[in-house]
Parts: sequence; C-alpha cells; structure tokens
Amino acid sequence: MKNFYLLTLLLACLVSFPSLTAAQQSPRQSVGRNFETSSPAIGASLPDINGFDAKGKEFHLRSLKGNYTVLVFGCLT
Amino acid sequence: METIERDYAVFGVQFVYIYKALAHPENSGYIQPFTLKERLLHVKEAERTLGSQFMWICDNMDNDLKHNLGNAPNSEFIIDPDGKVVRKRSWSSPASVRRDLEELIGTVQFQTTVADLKLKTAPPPRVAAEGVVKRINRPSGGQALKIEPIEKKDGLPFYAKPRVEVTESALRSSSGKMYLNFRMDPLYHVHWNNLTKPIQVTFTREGKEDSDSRVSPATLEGPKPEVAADIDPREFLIDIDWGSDDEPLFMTVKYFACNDEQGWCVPVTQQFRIHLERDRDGGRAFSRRRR
Repeated sequence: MKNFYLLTLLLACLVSFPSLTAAQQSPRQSVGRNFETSSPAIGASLPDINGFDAKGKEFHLRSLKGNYTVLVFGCLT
Repeated sequence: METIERDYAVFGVQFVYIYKALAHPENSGYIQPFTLKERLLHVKEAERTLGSQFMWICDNMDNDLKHNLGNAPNSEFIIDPDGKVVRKRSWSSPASVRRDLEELIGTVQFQTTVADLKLKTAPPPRVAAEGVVKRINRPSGGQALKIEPIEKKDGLPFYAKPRVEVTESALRSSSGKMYLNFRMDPLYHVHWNNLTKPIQVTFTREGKEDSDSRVSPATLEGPKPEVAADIDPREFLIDIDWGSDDEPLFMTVKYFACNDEQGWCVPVTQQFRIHLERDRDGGRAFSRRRR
C-alpha cells in the first residue's frame, strides 16, 4: 500500500514537472520558443510582406535576392 | 556586426537592419512612435547614434515584419541568393554570423576589429532639466495597453506621448490600478513649459462631456516644477473599473510644448482612445530606469 502511494506520488510529479518547467521559463527562453514557431523555417522563402526604406519608400522583403543577406532586427532601445 | 560587414561586403553580402517597435521604451528617453513618419525619424536617429552604415528597412505600423519573422526583439536571419532562409536565431550573435558566413562563403584572412571601424556614434538628445519631478511607484509587471492617437488633418505632432499600463490581474478582473505617463518625444527636441498651466488629462465618453465613471479620478493635473523647463515624465496612478464595458477610454490631453532651438512654444490639445487590451508590441518599460 505504501509502495503504491509512493509510486502514485512519483508519477504525479513526473506528469506535472514539464508544465512547471514551462511556467518557470525565463522571458528569454519564452522568446526563443515563440520564435521557432512564428518564423519562416530553414529553406523557406521570406514572407511576402513589405516594409519601408529609410526614405519611406515601400520595400518588398522578397526583393532580397541575388546575394547572401544578413537580416538583423533591432531598435533604439 | 559592422566588422563582419566590412569583411564580407566585398563578397556581395548585404547587411540589413530591420527597425521594429521598441522592445524597451523609455530607455534613454526614446518612446514608441505613433506614425510611420515618426518611426522613420527613429531610423534616422539610429543611424546618427549608432554610426552604422547598414541599410535599414523600417517595419510598417502594423508590425508585420516583426510578427511574421519570429516576433523576437533582436533576431537575425541569413538569406541565400535565392531568397531562402538558410540560418536563423532568436538572439543576434555576431560571432555565430561570422561562423555561418565562413561556412557559406569562406574565411577571410584578416578580420576587421571594432577598433578598425571608427564608427561615429552620438548620444541621445537632451534639451532640458531632468530629475526635477518626483517619480511615483510604478506597479511592477504592468502590461502596455493599445493606444490609438486621434490625428487631426493639420494637427501638431504628438510631442508628448502617453504610455498606459495595467497589471495582468487587472486585465483579467477588468478592474485595478492604471499607470499612465506622458513623456516628451526626444526626437522633436521639445520640453514642458512650466511657466504656464501644467498638463491636464480628462477621461470622458467619446462625443460627450460627462466624465467617464470607469476611471477615478477622471480629471488629472500634472505637477508644476519650479524650473522653467524640464523633460521628466508626468505620471499618474488611477483606479479603473470597466467590468463588461470594453468601449475604449477616451482621453483628452492639454499641455504646452516648447522647442528652444526653433524658438517656439505652443499649446497642444490631443486625444487618444485607450483600448482595454494588451498591446503585444508595446515592449517592456522598466521602472526608475535612468533616462
């Protein structure tokens, strides 16, 4: 009976551990997890969306072809 | 990253910064732009302060580039000549990019160092006194709410910009404390005019004159420091209880803004709708962070 109780307790801990771990993820880890699911996969094309160049002219993201391009997201702060 | 650009631009590699919504508004005084024109001013400011020679692409005001390319504050991608993603990471790592390019293109014999760059950097603009207004205790864990500025056809720019935060628990329970601050946008080189009326904020129902009973108090007046000019934020902590009434709050703000370089002071009246929902692109502002 005691062994059954201990086994049940152990199983309950094993089931709850992943969800506890997920809840305790740091913001950085959370960003990483979301990034994987919401960014284009390796081998995929860039999405067909537009931004603007520094002069305010529309810029098509898919025009980045012909050479290797390093794209980095950033902002002032 | 600029050192890598110097080494690999000769191979035709192009380096592009995508300018996105601020991850940490209020750091160094910079605040979220309200319009594309203002975000493009941010790009100019980034060029000025960072001294980088990279091409910049500015995200649109719906933040589509950010949302569709991983939603991370400082991610990076390498795109091949066919336009396909060949490398990606959620946090930019120049050392990793260099390794990637060494694999994809080849190794350079003599690597550029940071000291070789001689980048012309510049500090953020400061136009008036700081640290003259007592700060209030900002509730921790505040979530930025969506703010919709109501632009007038020939209206003035939004010199003073609001940021509105409520805690997660307040969002869930539809009541609690609301933190509200107004900061002068440093890109306009303006400051508060303390020789006249201080900032006044009123909450009414849109199109009506009666106070909005969901907000208490519904009329606010900012402090009036003894110095003639300053750029400290004007902060308020108010009670809000919206229950099931999720009509946006309608806020009218009146203040005086001055630009000493251009020699003017103007009275400003501007209005905003505050939506009772989290702004997923609002970033995280830290309390008590030095400008």
